[in-house]
Amino acid sequence: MITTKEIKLEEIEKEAKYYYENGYRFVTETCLEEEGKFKIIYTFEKDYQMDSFHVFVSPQEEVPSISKIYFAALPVENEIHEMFGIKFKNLVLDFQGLLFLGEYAPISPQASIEIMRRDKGDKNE
Amino acid sequence: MIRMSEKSTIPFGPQHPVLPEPIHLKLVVEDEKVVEAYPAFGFVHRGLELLVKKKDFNQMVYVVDHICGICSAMHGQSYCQAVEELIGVEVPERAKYLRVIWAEIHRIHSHLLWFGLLADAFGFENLFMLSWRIREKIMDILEATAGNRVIISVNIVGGVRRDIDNEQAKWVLNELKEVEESLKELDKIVRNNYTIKQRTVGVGVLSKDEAYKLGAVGPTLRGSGVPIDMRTTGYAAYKDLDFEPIVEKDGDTYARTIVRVKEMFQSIDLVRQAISKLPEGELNVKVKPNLPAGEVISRVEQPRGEVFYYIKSTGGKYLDRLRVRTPTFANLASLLHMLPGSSLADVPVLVLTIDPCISCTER
Repeated sequence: MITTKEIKLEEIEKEAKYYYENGYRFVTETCLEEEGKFKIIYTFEKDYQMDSFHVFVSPQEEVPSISKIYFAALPVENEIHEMFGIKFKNLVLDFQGLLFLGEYAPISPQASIEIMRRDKGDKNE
Repeated sequence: MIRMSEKSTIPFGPQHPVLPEPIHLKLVVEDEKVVEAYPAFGFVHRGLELLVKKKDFNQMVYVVDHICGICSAMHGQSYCQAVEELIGVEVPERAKYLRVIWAEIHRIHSHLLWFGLLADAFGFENLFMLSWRIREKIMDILEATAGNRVIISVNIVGGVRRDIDNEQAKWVLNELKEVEESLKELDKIVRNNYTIKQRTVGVGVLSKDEAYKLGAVGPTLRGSGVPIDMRTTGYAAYKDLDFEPIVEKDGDTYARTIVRVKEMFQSIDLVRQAISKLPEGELNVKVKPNLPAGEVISRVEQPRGEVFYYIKSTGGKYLDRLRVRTPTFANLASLLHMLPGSSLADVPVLVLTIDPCISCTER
């Protein structure tokens, strides 16, 4: 069983920097839905010990990217953006929703909370 | 007239002779030098994580087994370990050892497949054929012991579904002896062949610090001198087996190749150890039809590195969320770091150096 500490959205970068400066390896970010919000769990590891924190994100809120601190977060955050529609601020490289999904793919297919619609068509296909 | 070098964009993939699976790279080059690389995936995206809403936790074992053919057994194992921890069930000792045996045979199968593809990438066709010829024997072992050559589906929640009896175990050991002899021949070629060294030494160098900070896993990480191997955490029966993570220091494609070659010998040794210690007992235990609420993370060392499974349940037959972070996904950052500055001719070798599994990455 895992336990993760909850932090505020504006504390993400500070917290990630703490892990980086203390020699933690980035493992991944996991996004899921809980009670009408998105929950993103950030997981790090040092000497095989995992440590995690999580944030709750409301629809339309932008999440600070940690890809400037951990470059390895880049594909993960782009994937979360595509699959759940969550926007990340200051991504090192923003694939504009086209890393995994094609131009005509369903929009944010893993999210039941709809927060993103493409300009073209304005509806899920 | 001398022309200044100009930037041009070259598409690499999704269909390319060296790619076993589709991946697209937009390569910005100046003459023969890659200056920028932008990846695009999604050609085989299946949305398998979403199936937790339609398949119950037992049926999901078959789904995760099919995430990838090359490391199928470890996907099933990692998922089952997560569910078993959530339920709080203790898997029989025999099942733990059998999981190790099949996982290590799968590792050899995967590394030999990769080795053949690497040889093919730099035009060494004979070596490709030699590697895949050895692999056939491994596939025969999988078929004889598990009933299938690729997706063996031996794991179930609570243990394993098949057994290896004494006679079969002896046969496996004999077969592995022959595989070991063939691997020694392959090892000799890797260490002495001019072509292999020309195409791999000094190509795609990742320092120890870079590999760690980029979140690399598996041979990509260990080839840069970082001794991280999830098997040392002691899941399944690894806690009872004697082994150390295999590490090389140079951080280039050659170092990663040597790590994988050594790991094949290590896997043979681990299978021998596991068979010699294989305890008597049940293959699996019955589990209750409903899950308790909770969140679990399970990590297993696949051939490409650490696979990460996150599961969440609020009770009932179905999981609320399954998240799979595959090793290739973790190694993407390292690939994107290695490509700029490389020669265009080295791109196929660099793509293969992380042993990419696109089916895994896209799920």
